[in-house]
Amino acid sequence: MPTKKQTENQVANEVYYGIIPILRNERIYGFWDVFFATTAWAIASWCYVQGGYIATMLGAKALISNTIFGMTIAGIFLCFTVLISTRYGIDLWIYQKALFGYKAVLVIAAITIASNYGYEAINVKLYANSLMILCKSAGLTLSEAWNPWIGMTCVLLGWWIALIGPKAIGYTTKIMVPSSLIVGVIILILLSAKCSLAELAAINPVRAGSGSNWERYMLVMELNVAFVIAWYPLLGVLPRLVKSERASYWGHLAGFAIIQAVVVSIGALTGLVMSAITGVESTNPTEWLIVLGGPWWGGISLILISIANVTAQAIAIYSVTVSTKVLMPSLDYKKVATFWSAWCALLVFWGGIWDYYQTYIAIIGAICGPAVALILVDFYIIRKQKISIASLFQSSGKNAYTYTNGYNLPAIIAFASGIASYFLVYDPVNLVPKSKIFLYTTATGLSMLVSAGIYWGFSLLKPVNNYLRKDCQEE
Amino acid sequence: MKQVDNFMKKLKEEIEKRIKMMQNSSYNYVQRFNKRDLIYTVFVGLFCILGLIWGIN
Repeated sequence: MPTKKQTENQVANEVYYGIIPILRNERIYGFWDVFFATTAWAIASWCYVQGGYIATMLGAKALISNTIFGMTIAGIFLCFTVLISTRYGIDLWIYQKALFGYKAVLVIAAITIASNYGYEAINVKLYANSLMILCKSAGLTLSEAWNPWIGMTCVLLGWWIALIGPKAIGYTTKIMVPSSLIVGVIILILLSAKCSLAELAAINPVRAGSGSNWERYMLVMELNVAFVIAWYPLLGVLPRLVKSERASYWGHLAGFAIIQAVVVSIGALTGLVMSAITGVESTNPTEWLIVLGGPWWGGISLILISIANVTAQAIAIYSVTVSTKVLMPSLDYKKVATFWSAWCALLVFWGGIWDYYQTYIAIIGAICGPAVALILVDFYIIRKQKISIASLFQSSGKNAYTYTNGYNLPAIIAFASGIASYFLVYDPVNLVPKSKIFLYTTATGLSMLVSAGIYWGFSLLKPVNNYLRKDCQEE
Repeated sequence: MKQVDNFMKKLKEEIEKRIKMMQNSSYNYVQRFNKRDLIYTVFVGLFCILGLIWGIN
């Protein structure tokens, strides 16, 4: 039985790691803090997987412009959501109670967080690949059946570090960032040693013959936009700790969009060179490292990838657990961390995320795109940047966001319509556009436009506006 | 169960205390994303659109 003091400490912890709204004088992050924290996340090895995939469709110039500029534009829209978190000192999931309703937000959070965990499954797969290649170079050849079991050691180590708590997470970040950076630098050096800029520009992608240039450009744009928008479920953890909206916005944009785009571009160029050297499509960065760097440099890089991916796993479990606890504070931290680790293990053993990466990215785009669009319309246009904090926390008997039994029906209809429009214009299994609209908006872009338009349209009807704006009567 | 109840009760008290403090907007005012930031953002967006057009040609 905890003492009164222990309960008070537990409550105090919720200021930085949970549900309690954080006040101005408690904020700890400036621009550079946010920039480094988001960069630490953004340069994980999944960037190389993304780079490898898009390198099969475009040449060097188109790849770089599409990735850098496309991801930055997506980031501009995404980062307008962090202003809400920073202004009120609350997690974005708390704000989304106003958007979706008290009960619907739990369903949306479960879907988006669970689907987002596919990225961690990719990291675990890369960790297992790295160790298997290292074992092979040491003379121990393991069959592919060992892959998920080796990956499980990454999941377990990450779970164990996450259970130790935020201090351990702080230390692991200090290991992860330099490891990921060194891998990036090694790849860049190996790349420039293998290929001049002129040679790089002349390489044709493996799938150069499939579809027009414009179609392949927009397919890559779709993958890049979805890759950035995928940060949405984890966006509330950092911005509530930032001292100003300006630092929060530019810090997130720089890390999650621009720096990430640079690392994905490095991965894309490497994938392009690899396809030119080997003549086959390669989306596996662990294979690149041995081919480009030989046993020494390749081996060092693989060891660093393994270390970085264990720490990335720990940070992911910790962040996702905190996000879950924000919505359900009575849940036990250890049990939530164990649940998400088990979910990750399930995805690793299934293997589908790795095998159907592009389809997975499409699902992320279809879910996260409409949600981001709805947040922007709801906060900036419908609520005109005014929300009831008391109702968000259901404090003093205020419940303006109950809507219909905890579900905001116009928002849910708009969300579902956005997802439906996504699949009307894009076939994510065969990776082909189903409509010419895709060539101008991408599927994620269209789903955002449809969701935003429908929700805004609903709000123009007087009875619906009254239904949405019950918080006006409170504050 | 009692531990959870105690924790939730304390948590609610702390949240209510902070909501009252936050209702005094000057107390919790953080520097806003202002017009200058918006102009920079539009500039970055336009630059990116030009970059995308350059990439496809």
